[in-house]
Amino acid sequence: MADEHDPVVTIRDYTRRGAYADAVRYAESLPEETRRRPGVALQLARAWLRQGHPLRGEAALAATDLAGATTGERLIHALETEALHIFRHGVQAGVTSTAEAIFAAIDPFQIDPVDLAEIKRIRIRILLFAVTYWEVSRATATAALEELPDIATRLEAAGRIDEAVAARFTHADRLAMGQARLDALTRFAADALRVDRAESAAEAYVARAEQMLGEGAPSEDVTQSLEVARDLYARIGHQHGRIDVERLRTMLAIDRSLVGLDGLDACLAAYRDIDFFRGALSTLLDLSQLSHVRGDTGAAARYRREALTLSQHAGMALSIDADRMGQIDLLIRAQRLGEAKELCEAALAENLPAWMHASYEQLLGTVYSFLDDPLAASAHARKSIDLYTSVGDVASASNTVLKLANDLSSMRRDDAFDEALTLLRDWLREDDVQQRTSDAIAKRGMLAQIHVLQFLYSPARRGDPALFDDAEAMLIAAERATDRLSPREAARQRGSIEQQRAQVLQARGDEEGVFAAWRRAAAHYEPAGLGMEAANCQYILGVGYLNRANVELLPNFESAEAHLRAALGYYDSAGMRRQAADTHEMFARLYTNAAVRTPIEVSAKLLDAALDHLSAAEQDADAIRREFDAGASATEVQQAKGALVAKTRRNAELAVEILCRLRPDPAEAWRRVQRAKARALVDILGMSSAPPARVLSTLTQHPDVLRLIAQEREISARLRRASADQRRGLRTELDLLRAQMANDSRLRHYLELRTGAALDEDDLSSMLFGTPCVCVDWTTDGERLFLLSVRPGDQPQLTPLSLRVREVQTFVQTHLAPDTFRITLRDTPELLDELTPLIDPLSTLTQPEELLILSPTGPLHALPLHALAVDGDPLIARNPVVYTSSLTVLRHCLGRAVTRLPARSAALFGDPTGDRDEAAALVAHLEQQFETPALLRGDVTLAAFRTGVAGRDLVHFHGHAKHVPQEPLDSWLAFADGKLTARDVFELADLRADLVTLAACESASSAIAPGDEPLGLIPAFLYAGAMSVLATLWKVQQGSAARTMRHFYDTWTAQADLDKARVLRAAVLATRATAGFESPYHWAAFVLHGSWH
Amino acid sequence: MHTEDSLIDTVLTPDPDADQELGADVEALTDNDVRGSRLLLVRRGVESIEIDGKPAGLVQLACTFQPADGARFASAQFRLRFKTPEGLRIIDLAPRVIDDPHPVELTLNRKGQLAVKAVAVVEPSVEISASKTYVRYHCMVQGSGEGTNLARWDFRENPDRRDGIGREQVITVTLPVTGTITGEVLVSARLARHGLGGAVDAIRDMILGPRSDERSHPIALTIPAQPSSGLERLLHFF
Repeated sequence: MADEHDPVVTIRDYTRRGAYADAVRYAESLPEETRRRPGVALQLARAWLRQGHPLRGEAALAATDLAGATTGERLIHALETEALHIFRHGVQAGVTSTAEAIFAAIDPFQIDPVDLAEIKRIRIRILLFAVTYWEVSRATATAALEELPDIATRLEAAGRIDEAVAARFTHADRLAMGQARLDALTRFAADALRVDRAESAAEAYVARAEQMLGEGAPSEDVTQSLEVARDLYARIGHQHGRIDVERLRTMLAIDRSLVGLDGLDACLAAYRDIDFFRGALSTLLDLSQLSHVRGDTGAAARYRREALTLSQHAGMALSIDADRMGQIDLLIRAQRLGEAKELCEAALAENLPAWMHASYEQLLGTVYSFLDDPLAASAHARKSIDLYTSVGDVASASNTVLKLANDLSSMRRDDAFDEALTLLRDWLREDDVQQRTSDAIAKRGMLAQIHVLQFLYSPARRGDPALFDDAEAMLIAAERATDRLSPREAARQRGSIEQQRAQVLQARGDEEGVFAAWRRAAAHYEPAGLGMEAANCQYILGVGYLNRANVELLPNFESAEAHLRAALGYYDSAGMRRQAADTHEMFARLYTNAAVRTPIEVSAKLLDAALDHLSAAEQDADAIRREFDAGASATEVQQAKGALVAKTRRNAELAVEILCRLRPDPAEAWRRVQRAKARALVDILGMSSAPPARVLSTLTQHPDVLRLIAQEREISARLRRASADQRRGLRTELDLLRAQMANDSRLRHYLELRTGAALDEDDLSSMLFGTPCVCVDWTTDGERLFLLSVRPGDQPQLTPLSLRVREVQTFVQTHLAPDTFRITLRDTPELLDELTPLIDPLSTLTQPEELLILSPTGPLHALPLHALAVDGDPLIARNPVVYTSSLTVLRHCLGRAVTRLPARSAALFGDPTGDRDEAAALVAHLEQQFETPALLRGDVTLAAFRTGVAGRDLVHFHGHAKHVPQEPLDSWLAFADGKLTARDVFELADLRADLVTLAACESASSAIAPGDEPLGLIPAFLYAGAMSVLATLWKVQQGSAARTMRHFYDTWTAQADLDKARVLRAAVLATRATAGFESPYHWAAFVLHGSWH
Repeated sequence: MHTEDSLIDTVLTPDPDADQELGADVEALTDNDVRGSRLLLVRRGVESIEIDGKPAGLVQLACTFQPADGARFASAQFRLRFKTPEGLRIIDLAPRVIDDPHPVELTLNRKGQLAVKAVAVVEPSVEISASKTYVRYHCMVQGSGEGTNLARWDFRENPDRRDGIGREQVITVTLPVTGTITGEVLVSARLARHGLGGAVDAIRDMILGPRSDERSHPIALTIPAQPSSGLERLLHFF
């Protein structure tokens, strides 16, 4: 029974309930001499440490009056001070030396055995910190860990329940992940309840839930564990326990449901309310990581800054240090190499443990590799190897050796080759002595690879055939070593060695040998049940025969077919959709290549089969798209996006090759182009971010539909972490669920956003019914450009163009770059004549005054196509023009059309940065015109914009914008108090404007991704709910911009029957007719995207 | 002709349109900061050549972008529009693409086509340099305009070195005519101020004159009817 007058007991009780602020208040009410008593000071320090404020903990310990302390109290105090030092300053070199010296000096016979047990417990805590950084050996740490149960028993017997429970928790918590740890935590929880420590039992259940979430366990299991924790915390009125549970619930929801990060923000606020720094810090780091995953680098950096501020305030250096390596890794992946290098160098300047030094040296080496500085990369890798070796981390050292050898050989210099060989041979000897078989095999493989590189690139030994013998000798030795492995692992290694042998034979020019090596590799894999590896060999063989078939069709065609079929069979059965898509694509290439060399009746069948395979490849890619929407990492998303975009493009190009050149079929070509554009749009905008607010708000009206989506995300999330056996069952479950979703009309928009449903001719006719217009698409087949035009109700027309893609790219790079566009468009506009072949066919394919819906491709997105001349005049003088990145986007925009009142409601924002008077003057004019108060200069804040745009018909923003080509969704509009990025635009609630005008520089600039879909502010606004966006292709001169805008609005409001495309045309032509503004620089920047109605 | 006459020697002024653009890049250099920026265009050689047995001309000019104190030109565009004789079309021009500062030598074939060839040179002593025939471009260069009347060159500093485009740019065109030719020169050049680590911390776009009729500068050249020995000073003929 606790003594309510004992300050130690009182502080402990507050701590057990997570009431740290109350503990602090209570401590402050105590007389100073009481606070400084060893037992009270220790309890206070521990309370503050649990709160996440080691700075105060350190102060409490420093103030301890040890004059009358026992030997045990003094030693506990000294060791606890050491432990706190780690939290305060991070793990440093020699972190255990003081603690170990104190411990070594203890005479166990002169000290209370219970105090000794407590001393041992604190020492083990320090050792467990140190072992992570190889400051003590694994064996030492494991032995120490095993002492904990006895220590706990002794402490409990002496009535030190909290310390005993803490010892048992550490023991359970430090077990390896997996079922063993889950079971240990359950046993611990039961034990904690036995001694009435519900808060510790609850903490164990939270730890279980956290582990299960990370391992992809079913949501109900995670939730069950959290519910137990919640009940236990509630039983004792724990202050932050309920927030801990809520935080994990939110993490689960983020992982598996359509929720944003708001829930975590709420947890952060709740932690802050009760001054629970540790919880706030962890949540900030989670928020930063999740923002990164969602591609929002700005928010990630902001949360990280907040975390840094908080940790500095609380003196918690440890958490920041642990996060730094992850940050460097992310910077390297984001190609922000300068920042990564600076962070590495800053870390290396600190007094870090040798193992951490080794890690930072290795990271710095990687940075230099990316910077294409192999000399520096090698120097840092060498330091890293020495440091890893010095602390006994042989595995890390060995991996770094392979990396260094790779860097050295990439220098293609003889001294570097020699150094790599010496390094590998030295390590190989040691691997052989220590019987590190797998390491030795890997090094022999690398040695063989370097011999091949020497044959190809060594200045001294280039072309020396003896190198092949050296390589082969290495591979034979590696093969021999596989006898020491388990049968399955031996088969894996032998197959891998055959693949390396294939590379050697390739360099020898022994083509037959290469094929034979791949066949042998497959023969190793198949009987060992290594199906995927065997299928990969079949795929490579299929591609090899495909290449041969290009030279000699028979019998290579049949061999290629047979091997590709074998690979596809496995990929399909194993649900390996990416590989299946690649194989379909190879089939299509095989049949297309064969078609041009076979009689026409065979050729037609081959081309049909090629098109079928391309369709199948796209279906596989669609399946990948669907599986990729649940919380994968930023890198995974990025890689998958890149792969899909490239795949879609390759697929479309092959289809265009068939349908535009080999067997022209404009209608089918048009359909395929539409599909490719729709899918590319999804790949770029639809993944890794939650759907736009407008789609979400529709879904939330249907809880049963939301449940379907939640189930889908749950299975997708688990699928990513499931074992191969579990995966098949989960896939079947997922397929059934998706069939159900596809039949639910309420999910149509949501599913379209994910897989990019394309239009067909009937859709087009109904969408554009009654509008005299022509849809104009450009598409490519390699370097060739084609124009595809279709008038609703008619058959599409296909016209090859004389300009090459490269010529257009060069024009854009040379004459429309940020530093050249002005001299081109203002002073030498005749240069645009070089581009007129792009639109020449429109003079015959379209009639004057027909609306032209232009959907460019690749570099054409950067061109003012409407300013190019047709019959001597700009296209826009002949036809009203509207742009769309694809007809799918246009369908979204037109589909949102609503009947509006004649008086338009407007939200007007001008000159937020207070440096553009013309912008302010125009917005003041619009204020009169729309009878709406405008926001000007300092009043144009982010918050005002977010609330102001809701439900308005017109949104006019006149100010600065910046296009960020490296990360287009980070492109921004400048506000008085910050930036609104394209990514933020998705979050705008109730945006349903008929028109969003961005009278800002470069607002229409779009980075052109390989998949053809432009990114940036325009698609962001269109997807967020705007029906059309009026923006500019380049930095506009404020005089001509204001004139064009004024004319546009005057006409728009005065002539209600005129559509926006015609209104813009009138404004543009009026500016063009104005003295001083005749050049395209002044009038051609404005483009209307989306709906013209 | 052997003399190196000055064709243009004028101050560069801020581009008023650029100053009026809604842009959010970096700070603008002040009028004071840009003072002293000049363009110097010099005729290095105007020579008669023979193309497929017909008289033709070669024009080689050197343009110097001289930055204001404490600044550098990060990029520059040079445009040369030929006006008379009417219908005049450029046969070829050089350089087309220069990516690194290696010394290059200009060559000309019998069809009037120009090329630049990398040359291996030992850095010459002062005595030898007076007679050197190679040219070293300090920056990246892109040229185009053959078959049109508008020759254009873009000069951009090396993005890693960030040390400006260099002083002198040598440009050459071949034309299918002799006699008097007229034209106009337009330039736009981005003046940048060094910040920390060579990063740009302020810029201003500069042109020949603020008014539309001042943005170009007329030039006239006379290509002699007879070939002279001066050609070898400018290039290698093969």
